[in-house]
Amino acid sequence: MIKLTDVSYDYGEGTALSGISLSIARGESVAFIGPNGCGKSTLMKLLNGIVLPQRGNYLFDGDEVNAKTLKDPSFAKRFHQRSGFLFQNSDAQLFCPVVHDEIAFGPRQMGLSEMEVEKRVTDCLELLGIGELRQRVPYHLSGGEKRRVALAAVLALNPEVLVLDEPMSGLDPRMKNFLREIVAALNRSGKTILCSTHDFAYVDGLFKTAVVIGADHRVARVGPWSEIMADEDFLRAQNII
Amino acid sequence: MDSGVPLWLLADEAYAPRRDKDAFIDRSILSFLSLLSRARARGGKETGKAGTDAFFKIVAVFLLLLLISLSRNRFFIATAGTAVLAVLASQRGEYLAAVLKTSAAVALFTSLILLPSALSGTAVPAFIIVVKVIISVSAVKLVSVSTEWSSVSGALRRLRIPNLFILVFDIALKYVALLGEFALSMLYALRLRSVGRNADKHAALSGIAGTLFLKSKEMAEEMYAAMECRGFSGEYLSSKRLRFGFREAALTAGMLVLVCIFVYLPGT
Amino acid sequence: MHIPDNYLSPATCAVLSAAMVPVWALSVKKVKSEIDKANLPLLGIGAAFSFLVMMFNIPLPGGTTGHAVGAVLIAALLGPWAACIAVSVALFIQALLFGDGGILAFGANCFNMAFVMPFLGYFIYKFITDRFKSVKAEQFALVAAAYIALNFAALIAAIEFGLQPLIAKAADGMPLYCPYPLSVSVPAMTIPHLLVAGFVEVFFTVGVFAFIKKVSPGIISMKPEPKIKGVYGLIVGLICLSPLGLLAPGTAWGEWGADEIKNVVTGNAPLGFVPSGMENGFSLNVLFPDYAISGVPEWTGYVLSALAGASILIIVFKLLALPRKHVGERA
Repeated sequence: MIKLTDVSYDYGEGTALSGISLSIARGESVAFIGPNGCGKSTLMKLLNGIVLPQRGNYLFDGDEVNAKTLKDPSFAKRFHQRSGFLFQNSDAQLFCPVVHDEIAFGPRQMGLSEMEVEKRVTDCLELLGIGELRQRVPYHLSGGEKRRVALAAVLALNPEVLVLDEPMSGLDPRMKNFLREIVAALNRSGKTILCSTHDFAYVDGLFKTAVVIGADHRVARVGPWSEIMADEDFLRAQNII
Repeated sequence: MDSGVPLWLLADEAYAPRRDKDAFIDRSILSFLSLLSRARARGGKETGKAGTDAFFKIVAVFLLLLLISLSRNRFFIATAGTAVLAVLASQRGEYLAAVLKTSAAVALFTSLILLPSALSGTAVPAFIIVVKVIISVSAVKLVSVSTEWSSVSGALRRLRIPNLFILVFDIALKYVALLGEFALSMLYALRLRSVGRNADKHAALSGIAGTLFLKSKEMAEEMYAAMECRGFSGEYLSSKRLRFGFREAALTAGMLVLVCIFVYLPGT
Repeated sequence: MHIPDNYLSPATCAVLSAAMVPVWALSVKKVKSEIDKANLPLLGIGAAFSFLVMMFNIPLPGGTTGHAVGAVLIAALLGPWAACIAVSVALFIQALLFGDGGILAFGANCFNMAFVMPFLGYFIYKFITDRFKSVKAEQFALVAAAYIALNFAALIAAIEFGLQPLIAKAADGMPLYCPYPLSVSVPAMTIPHLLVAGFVEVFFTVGVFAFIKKVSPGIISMKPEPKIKGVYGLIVGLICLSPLGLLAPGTAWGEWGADEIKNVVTGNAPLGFVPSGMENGFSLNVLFPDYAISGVPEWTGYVLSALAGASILIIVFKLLALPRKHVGERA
């Protein structure tokens, strides 16, 4: 589904990613872990086409994602519909005056009938447990509420792939558990989950695979989540714990 | 929580996007990107030899602009232009690229604007204006890329500009980058969710700008609280000394020479 | 509407800068007296916000886009005095730190965008909302304020341009700065602003204000309410009209050169206008032959050309030696 081949990205002042090669199949749930500054966030952005690699190749379901292909509005829009991105900073992701509009934004653009749009909004509100926030102002919500509204807004597009950048940051334990349940349910429904995270305590059972990015901005190791989590020496050497 | 994942989330979306005119998102993103890259490269990177003191540079460039603007003598303009070229030749490559880009763009733009006038008989004066513009813009751009932003307020202080303005200026500088990053993130968020045809583009942009304002207000209140906690009394203390070394002397000498030439030449 | 350098004579710049000094002084005084030092961060961040507003590319129905100045919006949100300071600082940052130019013309730009526009806009807004209290009235007030203030500011700028051929002429009658007289500069500037930029400004101002009102209405009613009396409006009007006093009676107001009007561009506002590749050859030889006339010995010319030539060579080499810049972030 997603294939990165020798992808590198630097931003003038330094390297963010170096020679990253990955292959992720449909329906997988993959965690990206690594020390601060290793380039996880950049990788998340790259996977969504916000930054483009200087070297290497990105194939999304067989289609190349690069500056040229993204210039075609139809391709770009379809790509963004199929791959949903949850920012680390939920504040930056909400720009509508009311939660309902925020969630309806995507479906409306897709040309769905008002009835369909309403259905999606209601379903997303229920799924994320934020039904009572329908008419509230996103700007004034709490961190956990904002995170859920943002996720709802992304889900409303019905993406096949969900990319989450540190989704647990800033949430209280109850919310972290809640989020884990939702993401797990979405994975079970067939969504591919890619998630960068620091939070190992609350993600049990969520990820099948872990990709470790080293401080050298390269892939240090790819393997089953449980195996890598058990290898404490390795994690310590990578400055992850 | 019972995971009642709705049916539509279980199926893939068979979606073919329609056409829409949303170039404004990309253009805004470009705008902010170039702003931020400029803000990140605040000029004057410490390489061991510090650049010329900002005060001198600012006064010099202002004087240069004034003289060029006033001058009606072509030789003076040529001299000033050559002087600027010489200074440019002594600068780093990165600065030159920035200066060249801007002056080329401005030259083109000015030529176009003056074209009708040039065609109706004032070609030479129009040309001189273009030359003046190129020289002026190059000089200003050079100062702007080669000066550490934080040193500008010290220079302003020495120019006896009132405290309030300097303070506002300092704060503004800091927050241009911060707020700019935030706005850029929002623009990306908008882009990512613009998956089809948006019937109300304004709402999205107003939302971003509006949220930006609210964020500004929030940050301002936090900043005020922080300032209070640290006993800010409203006074702004500048501790940097005026640096007067070789470069500053050379610049001053150069400007004096230019002024003399200006005064000496006829027609000014 | 940003005026670059060398389009206005230094005399004009000086006059407008002088006019701004009391405005700035009064703004500082008003801001300090009306709100305590809690306002300092707000002014700074307001200036940052004002700066960023000018970066947004705003769509119009039909597909064109443009930029807004935002001065009326800021005046409605923070009050006209704070807006004056915020916009002035934003313009300063643009001019000096981003090298956009307009340093000599800084006073003129502030006059147009940090004085005329926010004050006139605020006056209109207050005038209407003081008399009519409905939500519709407030919206209309903002529309009127933004549209009129922007266009009036554009008109003032056009007048500043158009006066140049009259007040700054070389001995042979050739223009020294902006060569277009009022008959050209006024339509050239006001028409695009009336037709396009005005609406961009309106959409942006109304949209953002409405959003903020809906999301955080408290912020707006919290702003101080300076009593704008009619006399202020009169003073503003008089100051704005004063540049016209420089105009000698009997100049050609009615001359509308058709082919000149066709080339409609504004000072510095990109309106989706893409110039086709036009090369303006900067030939050194064109400038230099003249100095023989201006009474300077020929050898100085040779020295200059040598110096210029050498500098250019060095610059070219330095540019060629630069590492290739990459475009990493996608727009």
